[in-house]
Amino acid sequence: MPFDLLVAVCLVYVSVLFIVAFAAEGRALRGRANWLRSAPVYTLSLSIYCTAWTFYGAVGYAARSGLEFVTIYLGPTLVLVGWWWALRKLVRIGRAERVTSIADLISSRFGKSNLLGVIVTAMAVLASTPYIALQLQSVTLSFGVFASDTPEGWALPDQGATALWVAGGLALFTILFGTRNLDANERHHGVVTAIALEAVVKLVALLAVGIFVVWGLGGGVSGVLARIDASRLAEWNLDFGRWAGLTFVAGAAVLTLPRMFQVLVVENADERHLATASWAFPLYLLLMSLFVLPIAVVGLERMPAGANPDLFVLTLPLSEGRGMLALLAFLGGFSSATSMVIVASIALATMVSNHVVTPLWLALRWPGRGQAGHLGDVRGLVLMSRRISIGGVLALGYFYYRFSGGTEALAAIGLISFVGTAQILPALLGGIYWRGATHWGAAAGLVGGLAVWLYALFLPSVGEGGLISQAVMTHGPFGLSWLRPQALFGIEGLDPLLHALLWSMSVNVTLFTLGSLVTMPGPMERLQGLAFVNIFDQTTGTGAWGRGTAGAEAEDLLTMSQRILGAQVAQDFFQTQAAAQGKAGFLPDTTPEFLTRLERKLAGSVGAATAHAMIAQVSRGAAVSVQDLIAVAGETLEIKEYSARLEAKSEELARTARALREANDKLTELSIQKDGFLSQISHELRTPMTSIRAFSEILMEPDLPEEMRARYAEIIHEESRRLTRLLDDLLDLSVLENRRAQLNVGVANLHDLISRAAMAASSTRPERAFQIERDFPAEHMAIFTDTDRLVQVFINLISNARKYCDADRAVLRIEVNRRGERVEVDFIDNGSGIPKKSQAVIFEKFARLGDPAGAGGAGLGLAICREIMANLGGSIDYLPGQGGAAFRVSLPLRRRGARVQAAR
Amino acid sequence: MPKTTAPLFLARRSYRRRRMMDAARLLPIFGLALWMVPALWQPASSPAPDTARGAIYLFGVWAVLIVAAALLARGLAPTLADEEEPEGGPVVLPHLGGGPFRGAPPSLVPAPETETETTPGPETTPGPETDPETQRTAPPAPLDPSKPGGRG
Repeated sequence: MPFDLLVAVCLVYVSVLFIVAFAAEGRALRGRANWLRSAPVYTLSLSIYCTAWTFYGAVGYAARSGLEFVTIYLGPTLVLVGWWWALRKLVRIGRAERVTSIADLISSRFGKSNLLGVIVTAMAVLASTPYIALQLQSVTLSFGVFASDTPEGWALPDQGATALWVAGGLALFTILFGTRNLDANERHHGVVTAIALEAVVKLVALLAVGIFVVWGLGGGVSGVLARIDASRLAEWNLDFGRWAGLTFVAGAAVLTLPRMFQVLVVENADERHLATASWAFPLYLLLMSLFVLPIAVVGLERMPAGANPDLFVLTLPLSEGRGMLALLAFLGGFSSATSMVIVASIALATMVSNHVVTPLWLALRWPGRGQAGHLGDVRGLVLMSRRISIGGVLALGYFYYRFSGGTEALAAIGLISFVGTAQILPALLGGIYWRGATHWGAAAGLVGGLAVWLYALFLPSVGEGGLISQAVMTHGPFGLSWLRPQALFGIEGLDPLLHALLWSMSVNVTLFTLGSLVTMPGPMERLQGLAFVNIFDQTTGTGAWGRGTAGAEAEDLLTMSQRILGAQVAQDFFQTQAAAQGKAGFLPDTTPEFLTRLERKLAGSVGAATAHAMIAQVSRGAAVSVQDLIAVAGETLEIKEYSARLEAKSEELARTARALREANDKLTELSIQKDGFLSQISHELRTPMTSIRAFSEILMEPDLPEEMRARYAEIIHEESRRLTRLLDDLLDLSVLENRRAQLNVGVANLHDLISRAAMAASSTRPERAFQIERDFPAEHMAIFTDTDRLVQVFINLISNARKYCDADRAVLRIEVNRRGERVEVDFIDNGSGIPKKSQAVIFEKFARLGDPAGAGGAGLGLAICREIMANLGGSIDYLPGQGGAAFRVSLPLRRRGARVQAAR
Repeated sequence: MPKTTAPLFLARRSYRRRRMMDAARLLPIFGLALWMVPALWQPASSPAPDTARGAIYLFGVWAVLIVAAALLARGLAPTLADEEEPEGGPVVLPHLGGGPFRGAPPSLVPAPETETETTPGPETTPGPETDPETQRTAPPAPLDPSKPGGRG
């Protein structure tokens, strides 16, 4: 295939990318970016994890070490599948705090410390440079494959020149679409869409090659499996240390690689996309690695012995004469490389400009108490610094590629880079899960881990006799053999990568935890720690600005914000905030809440640390202090207490209302009772009076036979006795009700009292067979009360039983139980009892069950009993569920409150 | 704000959701364990060729994880949607903004015209929390309806 054609295809492909990115930007500007912000696009954009290293290098890796290549995908799969642990929290924090990069996240978490931002930026640049070089190298190599294969014997132009052209083109694309807008939260629609397209291209390309290899060359699935068994990869030399270590490193890298953080967190438009990505991205990885092993095995089988296994994806179709397939594969590799470089350089440029260039420029231009007016065009500065940074990052990659010679296996470079970025992991996870993590701890851990990584892995990798001499490698620096880079503290025989990983991570974690334990975080740090760790708990929102900032001039802040956000955006923001405070115009009050919101808005453009510093400069007030924190906590506590008090009060009111309602009900009922009582009593008095009057009128007749006269006189006498009894009872009741009864308190044996009562009651319906069951031994006890009254109660109960018990063989059981200082006497008969609805009224006056005439009482008996018992300090209750009518008389053995009674 | 007490027992739907969150947390641990299992086979020391078998095992586990994650993501998506809601509103804390209280007085509007003296003004923000309660629970049947009193 002519090289010119290849270049032409590349140019066409790149121009398609341009058009797609441009169209996406246009749509987003017109506000029709819905499908651009969908979950599939988000998932596809994550695929920049699969760089040219995956596309070409994985096959080479598999050809060298068999199945081990798969660990690079297992780690990310676990992290994505476990999104509920870390990713969800990271994305939420990223959205809430408007994080612009991983350096910004770390710096913001640890008190907006720019030192940490610089450290993380340096680490990211250091670790990414070889990676970018790797991409340039793979593109150059793939060009070389086509060139060397041309039948015309067409000579490959200078490899360096190819790499330069690629780097330049990528820089142009990235600058065009990556630095259009400043607010990182507005996101790069064009870039993300172009990357999603590239993700599809590389997946299709690799799948096409894989299908061709498996079904075209390998003889189907079973054929390929047989070939694997027959190849030199058949034996799986599993080294558990490397297996677990590489899985861990890959999992860490997916969280900490600047470009992964960019697409995972910064470019995330909706948390729900993460749910989709949690399975869709692992699926993508699975598809990307599905055919790696077959391609490697078939390549080893068919290609000449000296062929570079890293390029099997290209050379295998070429050698089989499938030019178009090879071209597709080439485009896939080209996509992988370009998408990675574009996003990585955007992420790195954001970090460099936010954490290095802008703070430096501010420090130079803005000495001390500067006015906002002296601030030049920050917006232009930041954009320019990003553009230059993109160029710088690519230039670094290019130079690394030129000087490293580009000979190493792709996989080795990628892994070195992974271990470097994994050093951010402890600070990252500690920052979002541990409130006690401090910025000194984080700095110590980062620097320590970075140093070990540099010494034990990075520098030795640059090349023999490069930055570390052979002598140092074998004998250690200054002859100190325990400091040999690949055998620290005399631990030899370990795989160099695993050795560096173990040492760097242990040093990192140890310094991080120890440093955090012994140092004290500042107020801002504690505030941010709280906000990050408890991000799902929305109630813990406190402003990062103290009360000392009242001096801030809204006008200065507006001037400054315009320079960063652009005039229109800044004015809109200020106007909205003023409106929210109920003010017209553009100048809201500079309350701590407003400052916090403004800072967050600015942070989306220039990073948290810079935004904080800028507002601090303008407002000239100190940021939040420990006193402020305590004051805020106190306020919250006060509000809590106040609302608890309110609640208690409302409960109390409800209780009072309930009590009032009950009292009212009772009063209403009593009033009805009183009316009923009056009509009842007139009726009761009237009946005997009527008969007395009638019979006395008859007696007035002169000629009445003697026996009739005697009978009528008898009736009159009987009726007036009934009347007297009724009046006696009423009088008695009234005395008892008013607690004015004279009590003759004396000692008696309960047994005797019950016997007396049974005797006296036997005159009631004497014709009836009636049996009384008693428990004599239990009855013997001395009781100190008004015995006559008590006997009256007993008589009443026994005669009631005699009267009303409707059993054929009436039996009354009298049970006596002593309960401490009280005694309970139960009268239980075997009749049908009292219906439930009547139980409530039997103790009321004139309450009579059944036919009143048959019973022949006024219905005052139980009412009197109740009043007597109340006077004796006891009670009488109906005892339900005993198989018949049952009453329980309960009274103290020794009457108390006698004196109280007397005093009344 | 005192409503921070989470319910002790959940309805069936929320209970399912909680368990699904647990499953989402357990899934990566499960996957990690399965992927570390090959170390126990010690394929390096076994004489039989095991790369092919190992690949089938690893990719099989992978597929199972993807299917499980997809099912969980489907189940958990509504949870995320619910959580998003409070975030969409203003950043102001709801209990400090006075919003909910301002909504309370309308419940008093249909209240009897009688107790005009207890109707709280809108500025006594915490008041309405308690007042409607007492008004609603006040005795509906006065002791003496015929008594004219000072009402109305």
